[in-house]
Amino acid sequence: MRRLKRWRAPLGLFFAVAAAIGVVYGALRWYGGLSPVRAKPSDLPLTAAAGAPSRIVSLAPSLTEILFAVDAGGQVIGVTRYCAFPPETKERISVGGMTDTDYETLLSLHPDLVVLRSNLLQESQRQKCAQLKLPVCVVSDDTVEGILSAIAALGEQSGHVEKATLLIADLRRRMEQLRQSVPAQRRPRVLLIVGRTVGLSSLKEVYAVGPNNYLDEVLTLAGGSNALESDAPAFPRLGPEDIVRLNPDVIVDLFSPEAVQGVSAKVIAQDWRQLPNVQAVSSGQIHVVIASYAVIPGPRFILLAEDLARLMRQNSYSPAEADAP
Amino acid sequence: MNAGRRLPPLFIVALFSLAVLSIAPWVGRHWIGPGEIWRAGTDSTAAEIFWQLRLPRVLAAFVAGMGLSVCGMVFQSLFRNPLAEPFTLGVASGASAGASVYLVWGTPFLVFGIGGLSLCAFGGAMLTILFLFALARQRGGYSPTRLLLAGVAVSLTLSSIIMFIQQMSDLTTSIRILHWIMGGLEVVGYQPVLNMLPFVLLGVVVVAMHIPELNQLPLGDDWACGRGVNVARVRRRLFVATSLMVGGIVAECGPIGFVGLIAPHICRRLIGVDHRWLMPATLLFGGAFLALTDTFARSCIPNAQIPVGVVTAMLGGPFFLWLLFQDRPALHASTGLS
Repeated sequence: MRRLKRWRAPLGLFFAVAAAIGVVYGALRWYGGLSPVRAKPSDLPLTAAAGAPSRIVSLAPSLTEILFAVDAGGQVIGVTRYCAFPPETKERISVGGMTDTDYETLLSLHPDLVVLRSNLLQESQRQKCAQLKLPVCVVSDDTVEGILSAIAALGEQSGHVEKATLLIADLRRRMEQLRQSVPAQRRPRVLLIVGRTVGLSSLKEVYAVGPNNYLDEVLTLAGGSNALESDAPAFPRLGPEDIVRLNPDVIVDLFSPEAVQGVSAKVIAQDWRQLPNVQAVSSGQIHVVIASYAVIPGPRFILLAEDLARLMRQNSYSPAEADAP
Repeated sequence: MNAGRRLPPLFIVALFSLAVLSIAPWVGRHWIGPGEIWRAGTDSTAAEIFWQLRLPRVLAAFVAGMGLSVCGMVFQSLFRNPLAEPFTLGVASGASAGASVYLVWGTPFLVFGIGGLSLCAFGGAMLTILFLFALARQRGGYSPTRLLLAGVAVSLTLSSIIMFIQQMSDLTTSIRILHWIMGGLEVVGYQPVLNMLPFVLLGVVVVAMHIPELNQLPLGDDWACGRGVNVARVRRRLFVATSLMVGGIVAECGPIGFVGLIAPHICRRLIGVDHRWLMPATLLFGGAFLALTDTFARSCIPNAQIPVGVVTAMLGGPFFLWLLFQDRPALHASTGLS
């Protein structure tokens, strides 16, 4: 009896764990969470030229947007769970996140092209795709020119060169229009914020846009200059003292709709009241952009640039007034 | 407890391990039929998933679990502390710091096919071991208390360095560091298993050679000395072997906590405290335990994978508290103290 008592807890643990695994497995099978390894034949209309890949998986929301923008959406069969634009992406099979890719699902889709970004965040994905001998297209979209090059590259890879060329031409035209519309006076010093806690009436975990990335270039295109120094990291974390020291003329919060979860722009802007002596706060130059294109380096960067240009012009920012004693 | 009474529980543990190794590769979000894994050629996705993704991952989890649990068993005896586990001495923090430096540095490289991330993590672990060695040798001798306290201090210091690195890096790097320190077994192919195997095998062999000493050490240094054990030498060898083992595992999988705490204690309840039986039981059970938790971590949420370190921490935290609130006789009995 004493022998049995000694085994009771470990055996109980063993059977409990086995039962839990069995329940989870059974539930997944019952609710269809398990899919057959052989992917169902795609019923998506194929619009690609002959020889172009017809089963593309995108491992980044920006690249998904580019593929749909060059009319290759019909060839896209798998996307990440963060891909939300255009709405048709919801019909595609999710292969996980940008860093926690579900390789089993990826393999089961039989992709003939996997597109991903060249930055360090997806280094592991690139290595594993190479180990699995999947055909990959790696693009860099860290700058505006990088985004345009990515459009050209993905247009070529997907067999939509003409559409990609037209898209690039349109984007360049709109970029030139913005450059022409920038006022001749001194550019306002703008602090772009890409992430922080919101709605707490305090400023915590503030991540700003530094130099040498596409958001900095979009800001320049829109007529602003980055308040951060040229040797700052790409997305540095700032404290309140840093913001006071920088003393920007304009502050723009950039959020995706999911990041703010229904908190209104007005409430978000009120958080900046913590720093009343900052020029942007005292002159009412706090702007909040909540849009799905706000922080995605895709072809809709031009919308963000146009928004920023409009915001900086609409409140009649005047450096002469700001500099007056 | 004589051999006759230990064999049945050891047999159950072996059976459990065999069951996990046999079943885990078949468990996942995609159903794989038994016949499909033998197909070759263009219609071989199931085979590729089984042989290139699932089986290597289960093996990696098993090997890592073996190493971490044996290391935990050794530390609990060496330090005479039932709460000691592989990360007590800061080796995992050292590996995490090395990995953080690599991620901030930002230039990928390979040496003999081994990624820069693994090499830097291993380098961080080794530097930590050397530093602890040097610290512990001060004022003569490697006392368990001094090693343990030095390890905790080093672990805390390195954790703060990692936080500093995260603070100074940009958002993308910060996210990568956070992912790495959660630990993970998302392997493709058998190279990660082969990378860990030499360290684990070497560590297991060294520990096996010192089983008689491991039975003496928990009873006290004087007791062990009286029975002819060269305590300082044995402690040094075991410390080096297990630290190398942990360094090799963490370099591949990141820090996966609590396996080294949970597995030896469960095996002690089954087998007893004689390391001649405890060690094989801990090896097998630890490997199976991590393989099982990883199977759960990769299967439970559609299109998302929980880092296995999160699951082991969710199990280990309550287990740690349960151990803490055991009455003293039961707690010490679990490590063989009289």
